[in-house]
Amino acid sequence: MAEAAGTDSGRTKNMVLRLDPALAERLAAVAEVEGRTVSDIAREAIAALVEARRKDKRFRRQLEDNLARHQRLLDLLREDQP
Amino acid sequence: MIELDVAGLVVIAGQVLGIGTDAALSQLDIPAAEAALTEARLAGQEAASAAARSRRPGSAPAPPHRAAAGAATVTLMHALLRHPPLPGHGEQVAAAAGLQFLAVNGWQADLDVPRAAAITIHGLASGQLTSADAASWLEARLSPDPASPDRATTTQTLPPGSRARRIMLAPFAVVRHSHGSRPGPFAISLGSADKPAGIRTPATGLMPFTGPALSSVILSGQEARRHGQPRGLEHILLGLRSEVATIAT
Repeated sequence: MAEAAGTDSGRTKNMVLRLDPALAERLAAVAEVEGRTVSDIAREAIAALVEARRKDKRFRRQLEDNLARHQRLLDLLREDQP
Repeated sequence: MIELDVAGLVVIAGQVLGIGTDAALSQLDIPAAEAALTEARLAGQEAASAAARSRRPGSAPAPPHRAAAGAATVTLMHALLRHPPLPGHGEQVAAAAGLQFLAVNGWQADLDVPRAAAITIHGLASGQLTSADAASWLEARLSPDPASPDRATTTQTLPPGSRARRIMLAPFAVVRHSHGSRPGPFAISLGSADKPAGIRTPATGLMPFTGPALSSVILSGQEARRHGQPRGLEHILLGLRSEVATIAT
């Protein structure tokens, strides 16, 4: 979907999105209709996806259960990190 | 099989690293995450196609089988280890993502020897352990997630004769050796949900493996396969040699 295209010193990071042509056209159309940049729309879409997953109660519960159950393993992996 | 997406990975990374989703998103190497998830997805599709080809026409797709779940989890973890989405935290994120992938697909891993699990992940990351070996190791430790309604009614037993069954339910090798004139059996076990990995002799009972010892036993399996032979004492010695060399370096 994306590849790094350089670094920024500020609060944002440059990315190049690789999209199939149909999706790219839709993205451009949405941006034009809403009078915003393609970057704005893409950023919002990614943030919305993350937020939706974050609010997915079942996903969160499974994650919290897993992390609690396997805390020792995760600690070992952190300690052993080169 | 339900796949993880980048958003899921962000939430997992934010939680496991204790930095929250915003920080995880800003630190995420999105191309690496995409590469890893795409690699895992393609491997999963291949496995699903193979399963579909072997399915009878008209029959409904089965929920992911234990072996398929183990293999897909290891494929995902391996891809995340090779394309770490948060550099410096590759193994933690890969392990957490693998565990979460299992959970969303109705499975849980019974990793009652965390050090052995860590060694397996190190081995997978360093290339000392193949994906197939890691998948077999994991498969033997999978059980249906009791909290998963999708899975609760589809409890599966290990297929008879499967490698996982042999590891889970019986000592994976029983070697008889001579001690004076009295032959004495000993059994080596890679462990299961309710038994630690170790070596059992009539005189001592079960002696749990230390981390390096278990690693040596796992490596001995690789040595045996490399030589196309059943596992024997010589392969355990070769495994020990590999483990010692790893520690030395």
